[in-house]
Amino acid sequence: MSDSTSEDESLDRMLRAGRLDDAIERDHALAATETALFGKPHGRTLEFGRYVLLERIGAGGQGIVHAAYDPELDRRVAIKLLGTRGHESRREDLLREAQAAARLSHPNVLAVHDVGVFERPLVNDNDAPTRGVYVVTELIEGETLQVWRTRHDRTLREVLDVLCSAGRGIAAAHASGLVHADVKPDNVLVGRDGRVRVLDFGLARAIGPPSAREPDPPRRIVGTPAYMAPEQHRASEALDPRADVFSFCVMLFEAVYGQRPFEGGDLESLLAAKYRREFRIPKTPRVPRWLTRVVLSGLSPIPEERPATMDALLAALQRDRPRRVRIAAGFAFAGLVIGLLVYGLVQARGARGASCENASRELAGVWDDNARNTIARAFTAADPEHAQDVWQRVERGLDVYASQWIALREATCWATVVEEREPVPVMAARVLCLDKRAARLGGLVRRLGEVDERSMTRAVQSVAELPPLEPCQRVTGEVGVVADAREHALALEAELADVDALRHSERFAEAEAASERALALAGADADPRSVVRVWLQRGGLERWRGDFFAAEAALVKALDLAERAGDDELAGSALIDLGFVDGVPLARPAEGLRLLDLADAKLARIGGDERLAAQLAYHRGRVLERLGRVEEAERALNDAFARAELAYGAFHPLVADIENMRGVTAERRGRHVESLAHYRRALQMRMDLVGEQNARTAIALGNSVVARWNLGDTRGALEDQRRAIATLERTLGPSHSDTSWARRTLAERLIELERVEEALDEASQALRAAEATLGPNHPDVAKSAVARASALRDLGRAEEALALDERAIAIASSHPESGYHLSAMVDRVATLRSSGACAAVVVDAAAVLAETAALDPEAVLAHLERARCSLAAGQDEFAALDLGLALVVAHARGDGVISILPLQRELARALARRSPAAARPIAAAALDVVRRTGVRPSWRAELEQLSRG
Amino acid sequence: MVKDEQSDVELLLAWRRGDLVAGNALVRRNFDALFRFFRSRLDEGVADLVQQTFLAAVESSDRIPEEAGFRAWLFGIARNKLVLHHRRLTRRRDPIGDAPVVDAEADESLGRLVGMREEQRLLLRALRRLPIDLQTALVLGYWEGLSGTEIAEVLDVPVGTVKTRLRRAKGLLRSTIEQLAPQSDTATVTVRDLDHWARSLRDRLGRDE
Repeated sequence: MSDSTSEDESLDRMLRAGRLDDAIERDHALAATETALFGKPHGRTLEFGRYVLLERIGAGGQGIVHAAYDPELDRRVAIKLLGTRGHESRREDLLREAQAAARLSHPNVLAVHDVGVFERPLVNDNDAPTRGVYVVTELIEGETLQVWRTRHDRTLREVLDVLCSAGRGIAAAHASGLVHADVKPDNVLVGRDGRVRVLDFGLARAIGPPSAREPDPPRRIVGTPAYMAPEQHRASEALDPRADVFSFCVMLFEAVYGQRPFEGGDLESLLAAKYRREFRIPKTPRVPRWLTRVVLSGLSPIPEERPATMDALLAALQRDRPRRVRIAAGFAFAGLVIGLLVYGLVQARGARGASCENASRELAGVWDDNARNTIARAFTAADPEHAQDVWQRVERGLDVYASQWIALREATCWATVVEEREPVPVMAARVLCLDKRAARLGGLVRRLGEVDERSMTRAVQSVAELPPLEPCQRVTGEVGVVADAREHALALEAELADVDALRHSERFAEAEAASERALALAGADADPRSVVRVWLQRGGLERWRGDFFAAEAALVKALDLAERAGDDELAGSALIDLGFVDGVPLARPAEGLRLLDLADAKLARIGGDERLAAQLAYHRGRVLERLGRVEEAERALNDAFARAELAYGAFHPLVADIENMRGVTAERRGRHVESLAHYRRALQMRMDLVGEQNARTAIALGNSVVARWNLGDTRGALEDQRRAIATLERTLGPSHSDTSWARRTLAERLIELERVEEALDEASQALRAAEATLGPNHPDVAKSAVARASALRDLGRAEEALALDERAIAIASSHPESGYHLSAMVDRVATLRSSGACAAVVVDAAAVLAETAALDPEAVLAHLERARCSLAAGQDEFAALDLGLALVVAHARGDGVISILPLQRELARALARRSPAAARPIAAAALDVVRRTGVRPSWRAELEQLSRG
Repeated sequence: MVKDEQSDVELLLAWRRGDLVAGNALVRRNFDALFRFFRSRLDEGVADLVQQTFLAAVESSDRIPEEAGFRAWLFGIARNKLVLHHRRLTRRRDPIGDAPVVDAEADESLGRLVGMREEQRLLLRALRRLPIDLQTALVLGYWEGLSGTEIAEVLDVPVGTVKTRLRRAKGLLRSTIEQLAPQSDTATVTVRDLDHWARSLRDRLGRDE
């Protein structure tokens, strides 16, 4: 009571204190009113010091702008009147800023002639004195950047010229210690004379913290939201020039792309978009990639990651970059086309280029007709049935890679030998980089010649995962490569290729031996980064094999060495892999997320590696999903999808992986139809990429089975799921965590079909597998334990079920982030109920309900079990109440028909005795599901009876 | 010569007879309150509405109110002008009539409100989200010191209704402020509950004074 009184008082107080008293605006309005009503303002003419005020030309920022006449110098000027409403310190701040702006003289900054303070400037003298700061500037005829840009079609060159001029003005301000703090198109004026001027330093604040005299000045947010740097959203932070760099890049982005980079309905979501780097990059217009890279570098939420000064940014924008050959990486066929174009170009240019045309010969003995025949034969021998299909995909992939390689090799040569654009050492470094890739290609081709039935299915993926070629075009270092160092490097590359090929064939022992050989070679290498790459690859090997602890150890080593070598790109790669291994298979998602954040910082430092950025976003999505932050996970995955499509093309293993995870998040948010669509796309893509006999294809298949099942489409589901399991067993082995997962989901389906003995068998295998690979204390073990408990319960073995439930609860409780302990608890409720311990059910269900959020599936199940107890006790009303609540939640969640079925059935039973007419349609709906899907056959007879009434 | 002791009603009558000096005195006396009233709702066109209000007062052939009822009468005219203005605006923008009119522009650009105290800006944004009559009741009551009877007159409702409206307005205002607070300044995100927030505000206001 007293609380609300004090709230009332404070609101009263706030209301009274909030009275609007903007004296300048008021004076102007009064003058306008008096002019309208009585012909002229009462009393005096509008004079302001020595200036005669003319028309009002604008109101914005913090004040009002008038055109005015300066009789002394006989010129027109602009006067801006900034009200300070009696805040002395504010006025001093403003005056200081205005004076600083007045000292600034630069062709791209609007000239300030005069500044000062005023009191009671205009008519009306019967009120409290009005104070403020005035700023007199030159009066320019022209238009704002916003208007200028949209009035005509502007070429990129024109836009960049104007923006760079504005940038020079801002840089000049920075040089004299001023931050503009409100850079936006409305504050850039393009004069009739074509000169560009930045105006309105009225909001700029002196660099450095707010004056020390005033420990707690009234907080001010300055700036315009769409253009503000994220740190400007926090009013308390002192701004430095990098805030202007950010705003400038927003303005630049808008000028180049025609839309702003960040979207947000309100300040909060706008800020979130800035922090998450949710750039809206439209497909058109096409903007050179280097430009996009420069612009995005300035839009980092972390000031340290932006270009440190406007000058640095301008230098990057003005560097007249040569038109480099840029080839889309991976399997984008556009890459092939460009490659051929370059090839044609090279051929067209006379004799000097002739020496650059030997590149295709370099691949002789690596990827040639001989190799083609060997692999084709090996495939046919390994698996005649699938050979043709797989071979076609492999051949196409290798052809694309090889032709890209040739194109790049020739372009590299061309740039130095013909155009003399790049110095010889740069060419040498790039050629070495490409030769290393050729060694990789050769290693893979060699291993493909000795495939067996099992490893053949991996061949397509192995080709897809060949290291991208494009980064070689960015190599500038590694001068002075001596001949035997080159041999050494290529030998190492061949071993690395072998490790990958053996890994793909699941010849893990051999792969590890090859990895050890690679380590020895790398250890003798002068370049410390070689060892890092071996450990990175080892991490991948162990992860593939399913030994996640070993993977973690290898990656930690890679990270440590990368840090010592000071290589951000390798460290970033290691952090991404480590973050995933920690966050997902090792079930330490919080830790994983932290590592991914670190990876983010690394990537930001190297700037603009879209491939790594896509991988990072994907893994972030996976970890966030594990943390139960599904909405954020969805956003990360959407981001990953967009980046991956750009960086790799639409047809790539990573894109399929992302689609699969988008299915998972959509499912968790109750959007089953959409989820199924994602799974189907992932499935199709993986079928095309790696064929049907592949673990990843099997996982996508298993996921789509679950989604279909939830939607009530049970036809062929068991067969599909069994097929998925068979593939997983064959490719990953029976105890792999993915195989365990597939068995567990099969068990859950079998329980619903009341084939409980089979379910028990599958669940038991799933549990054993999970324990064997993941250790006894992993959330996945808890899930399998619960699946087994459900089967046991349905077989009447409640005591054993209870023990498993208890174990699951214990495991899940030690992984609170998995969010699984409620599921385990609610399963125990079900077990207790099946053994008739209804007193315990009531207590435990209440405990679960107290913990669940409104739309948790556990809430539905807790209500259901409590209702079943009420029904058994003949308390039909209580049962109906619980079921009604459960149905509301289930519908709000978007649960599928099979989840809702038990609720309908129990509700029909609860209503049957008192109002059979109400029970009838509900029973009929349930009966329809049972008939259509084949689940819960034992309910059929009773439902038929209830639906007839 | 306008003498200070001339009442508003006398000035108005004189103005109606053509005495511009009297008119100007009347405008001077009542200008601030009308300006605040319109400005609390609008960023643009305030002067125009003030003029229209005075014009309506001087040109209408209505009964002249008692001296005691003059302010309520004048605000009644102002309120009608404001309602008409909004109706024009909303018809132009979107047809949903009953929704509180939000000046989207004011939210778009912080610049215009920069310079106000943080709390004042927040209050203004919240006020603008209230339905017109609720806002009118608050502004007249708190800023202009109108009594319940006078507000009832302005809004053309019984006195009892004014009390409930004021209560409802304050409730709505409080929840709107709570809702807006985190948006208006991310630094206040943590200060979600109004009580705490109000207390810190009171402290700050106290120091200001």
